[in-house]
Amino acid sequence: MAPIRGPQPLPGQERRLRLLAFVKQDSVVRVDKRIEDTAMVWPHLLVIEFIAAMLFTGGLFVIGALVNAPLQDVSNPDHTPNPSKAPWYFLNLQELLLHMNPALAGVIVPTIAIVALMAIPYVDTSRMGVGTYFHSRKGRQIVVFSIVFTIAILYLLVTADALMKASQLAPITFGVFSGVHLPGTTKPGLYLPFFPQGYAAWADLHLPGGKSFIPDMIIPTGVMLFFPVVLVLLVKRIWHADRREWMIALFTGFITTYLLLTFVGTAMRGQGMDLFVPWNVPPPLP
Amino acid sequence: MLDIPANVWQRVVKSSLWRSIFRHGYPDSRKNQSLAVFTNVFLHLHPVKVRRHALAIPYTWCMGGLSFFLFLALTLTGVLLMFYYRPTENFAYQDIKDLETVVVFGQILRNMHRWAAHGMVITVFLHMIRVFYTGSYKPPREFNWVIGTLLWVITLILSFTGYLLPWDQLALWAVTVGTNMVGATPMIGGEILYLLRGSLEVSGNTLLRFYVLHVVGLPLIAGFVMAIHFWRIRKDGGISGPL
Amino acid sequence: MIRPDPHREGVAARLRRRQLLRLGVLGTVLLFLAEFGGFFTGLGTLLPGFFRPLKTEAFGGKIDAGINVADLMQFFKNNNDAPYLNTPGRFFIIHPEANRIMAIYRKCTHLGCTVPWNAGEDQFHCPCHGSLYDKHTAVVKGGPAPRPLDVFPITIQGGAITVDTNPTTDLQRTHYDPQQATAVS
Repeated sequence: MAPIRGPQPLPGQERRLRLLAFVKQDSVVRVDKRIEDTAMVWPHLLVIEFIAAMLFTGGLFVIGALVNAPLQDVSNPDHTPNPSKAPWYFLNLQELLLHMNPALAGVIVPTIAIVALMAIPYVDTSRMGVGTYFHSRKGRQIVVFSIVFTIAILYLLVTADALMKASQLAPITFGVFSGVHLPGTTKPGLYLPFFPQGYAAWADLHLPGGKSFIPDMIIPTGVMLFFPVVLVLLVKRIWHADRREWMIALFTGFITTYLLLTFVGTAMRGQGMDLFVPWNVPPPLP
Repeated sequence: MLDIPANVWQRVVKSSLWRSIFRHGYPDSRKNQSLAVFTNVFLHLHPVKVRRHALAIPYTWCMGGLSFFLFLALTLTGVLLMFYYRPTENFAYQDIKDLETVVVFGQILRNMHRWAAHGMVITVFLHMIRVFYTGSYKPPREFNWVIGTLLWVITLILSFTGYLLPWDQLALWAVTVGTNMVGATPMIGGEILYLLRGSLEVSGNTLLRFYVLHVVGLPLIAGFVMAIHFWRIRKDGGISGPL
Repeated sequence: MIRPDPHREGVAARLRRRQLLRLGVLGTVLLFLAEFGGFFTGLGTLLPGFFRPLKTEAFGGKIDAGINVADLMQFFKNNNDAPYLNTPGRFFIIHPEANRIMAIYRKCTHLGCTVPWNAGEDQFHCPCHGSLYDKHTAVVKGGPAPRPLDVFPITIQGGAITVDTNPTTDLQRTHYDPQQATAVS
């Protein structure tokens, strides 16, 4: 009998098979079976890529020749310009900072947003609608609705907070309420909720974060949880949205918020980060 | 016109030097077109064939490819800028001034670098929007979406670290405001802030730290993550399309 | 431990070896990561790591205010109690009440912008997010700042004023209290 070569199975495991690789149908390189539906990469794709790269090189060169990158005076740690702004792509976060607790706006909310973005494919696991914009006609309507809804809500929130900030410095009278004397306040006029001096003194003594606890933590957290839920419920109610569709609504809300807050932070905040209309922002102090 | 005589061209193409470099003929046949993509280290990111809908510009907007293109343009202009830039408190601002005034083509290089950086932030964001609305994150591409989100964050940090380097008022205060956000982290905010800045307030140490991250650390990380991103696009079946 | 137990046969003996190896690999990886992380970041000020050099700048230590008590009181008198600025130390000296002085860190408690003295408004006005601080006590008068400006400890010896500018040990407070200020005789 010839000697047996090679690795031997362990006693009792003679029938075990070795699995070399498990090939899933999805994960192999897909060469489409319909011949007429494919195109050679050379030249068809490469031509498009080449033209796009040429246009961008040319465009970049022209912009670089026409518009100079900004350069201000040498840095001076003793003098903060008014207003001081982060790079434009972080102005959405800086805008959040004006409305809530720094830890919430600068760390917690962005972290949650990024994790939520990453989690999208693990929530919406269906394969419906791959490769078509907005899933369906319904999806298109949901996108438009979400944009309008988000802009309206954000407009109200930003304006309301600006009014509250103003009412901190001086009571708002609108010319008619100068005779009104709210209980617990020292000056006549309307104090918007949570900022009458009576409340601030009480909160400093009784709440963990002092007077900023409710306006900087509770209200923003509530708002950020409440309105997305409302959006999803509305979309489910009106369009009987499935998971992909309410996900579209939430993502659209996120994108709209991101872009709108970037715009507000960039074009509507002037000295002291006060709110102005975009065409009437005073020039920054040096 | 500049016509190369046919016999000269033939001799060049048949020479052993040419054939040692290009292992296929002119790509005018299916076989040679395949080989042109297949045997080229730069083109082999691509498959040989793609589904026709992947060519539709209204579908992809070319945004992913253009983001990568801008990354390459930023690398090139950035390396050139490094020849004249010293990341220290005393020299940084003057070096930028010199780039603008005494270095030939320095101003346009700096402009291109800056606008390309802003452009990349925009193209990456648009790419993400496109991928979401076309449902391209769905199985089997889930993890590539996660990697893509990570690349978006890396792009933002790359741009932010570069923002400090001119060392002017705009840079100093934008970075002061930006890093202060990180400092608001509960519990360990102060420690993270010190690690980022290398000092208690933004200083020359911060400039050096951001410079090293901007020109070496983050581009390396971005390069690795991009390699994974592109590789997975291929492995997951190329550009997404209707089933 | 590594050798298979002669009394146990087959899978059981092999499993123990695998577990040992697995634990060993896991432990080595964790140890490596801990060493790596510790090397770079250390444990804050207790055990500084690579990214926390031991040399500090002038700011952060004890700094002479650059003015003696008599001159300072005269400065307050002439300028209607406007604050006295020390640039390298990044602090103001203010005059909360008669014969008391206080050194305050001029970094906004909201997000760390440099708070300048605004002579026109007669108060500290942070340009970043509009926080307002009182002229005499540096408590918050408005805006998003969560607490008054932080206080650096002052020591007075023979008329010379020394300020300890270490922001990690400064005094964080919620309101003004005469105890926070230093008495000048």
